[in-house]
Order: sequence, then C-alpha cells, then structure tokens
Amino acid sequence: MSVDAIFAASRFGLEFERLRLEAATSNIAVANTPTAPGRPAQLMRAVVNYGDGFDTILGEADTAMQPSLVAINAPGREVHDASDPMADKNGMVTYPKVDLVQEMSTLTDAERAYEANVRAFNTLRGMALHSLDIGSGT
Amino acid sequence: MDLTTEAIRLALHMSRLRAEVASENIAHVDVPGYRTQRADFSEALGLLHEAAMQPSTTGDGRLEGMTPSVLRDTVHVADAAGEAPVRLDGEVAELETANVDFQSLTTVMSRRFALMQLAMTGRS
Repeated sequence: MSVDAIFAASRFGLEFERLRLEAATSNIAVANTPTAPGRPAQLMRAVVNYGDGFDTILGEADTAMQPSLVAINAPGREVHDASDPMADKNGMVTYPKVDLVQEMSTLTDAERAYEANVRAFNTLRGMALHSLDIGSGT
Repeated sequence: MDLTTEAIRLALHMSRLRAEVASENIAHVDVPGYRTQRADFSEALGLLHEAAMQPSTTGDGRLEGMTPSVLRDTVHVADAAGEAPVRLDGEVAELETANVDFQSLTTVMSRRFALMQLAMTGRS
C-alpha cells in the first residue's frame, strides 16, 4: 500500500463520515416536517457504492468507491390534526418516524470517527515528511 | 536533460498545479454555481509511464513539451454530470497531499544535485 493509497483511504473516511453527519442532521431537521399525503416519508442515509461495474471488476476504476447520500423510504408517524393543510382525508398528518436516539448517536459517532480520520491523516503526513530526513544526518 | 531530472520536473509541476487548483476551489467556495475543478494528468502520466518502460523513445521532446501551461489547460470541471459543490475538507486534504508530494520531490531533486556536485568537485 503506497503512501498515496493511505492518504486516499483517509480522505474517503473523511468524506463518508461527513456524509453520515449530514444525513443524521438532515433526518433530525425533518423530524417534525409533515410529508405530503400519499407519498412515503423519506429519510437520508449515507451509502457507499461498492461498484459492481465492469471496470471495477477489472480493477481499472480509479474512483471505485464514492460515498453518496440517498433518500430511503421510512415508516411514518401519524398524528391526528385536521387543521393542518398537509392532513389527508382522514385528518391524519404523516411525519417521518425519526429515531432521535439513533440519529444523535450517529451524529456523535460520525464526529468522533471524523476526528480519528483527521488524526490518521496528520500522522501519515508527519511520517511522510519525517521520512525525508532519512540519511540527512540531522 | 536526463530522464530522472525531467520526470521530477514534471512531477513538481503536477503537484504545484494540484495545490493551485485546490486553492482556487477553496477561494470560490461561496461563489454560487461554482463547481469543483480538477486537473487531468492522464496524458502526462502516460508519457512518464512510457518513458519508464522504454527509455530509448524519450528523445523526441514530448516529455519536455509538458510545460506548466500545457498542464494548466487540462483543468476541467471535476464532475461533468452532476453538481459538484466544493467540499472544504476534501480540498484541504488535496492541498496537503500535494504539499507532501512537492516536499518529497524537492528533497529528491536537491539530493540529486548534491550528488552531481559531489561528482564534479569531489566534495559536497
């Protein structure tokens, strides 16, 4: 594994953790936003496309794994409030069912993992720069 | 110029351009509609690979023709299909890796010149 590959791994980790944080933040933000009647509630999730394309199988793709945010259908939470403009014909308003405990732990977990990735990146950077001193006698 | 020096020269230009493009991306981070730019080094890397495989074919000046302005012309929008907004952490990481590459290359270059000086003068 070359130094560049380790840098790339750290940068992948940074991007993925940032997307997890973004997804959790977005889910918390929409927790009390009603969804349109007749449409499924949607929550965000960070996924990695592990790539089953032709060039990935051949090992030719240089950017095989690219993390991205996708919206997944989520169960809804129904509240009776006939005065809400988003209520359906039975007077029920649907909110996405957000598990706040899970989202908050994802938030904290992603933040810690992000810090760990930054630390790993800086450690590797320091090692790479220190390796230049090999044999220089200082 | 010999192949190693020429290769290091090209690689120095490449890491400098990476740092420049990353700096431009960071500078434009709040410009609405700006999309991340990246340099495309495939042609330069192909030339380097070819030179490493067949050193006899490198006398035609194609490696020397890879000037900074030629490399500069390969800068393009990173993600042509989708929206690619600037990601600050990614750009800073790009800047840092380019920095590490540049420092390694300058160290190698100066050691190489020290070797040449030793050969010429008998002392370093």
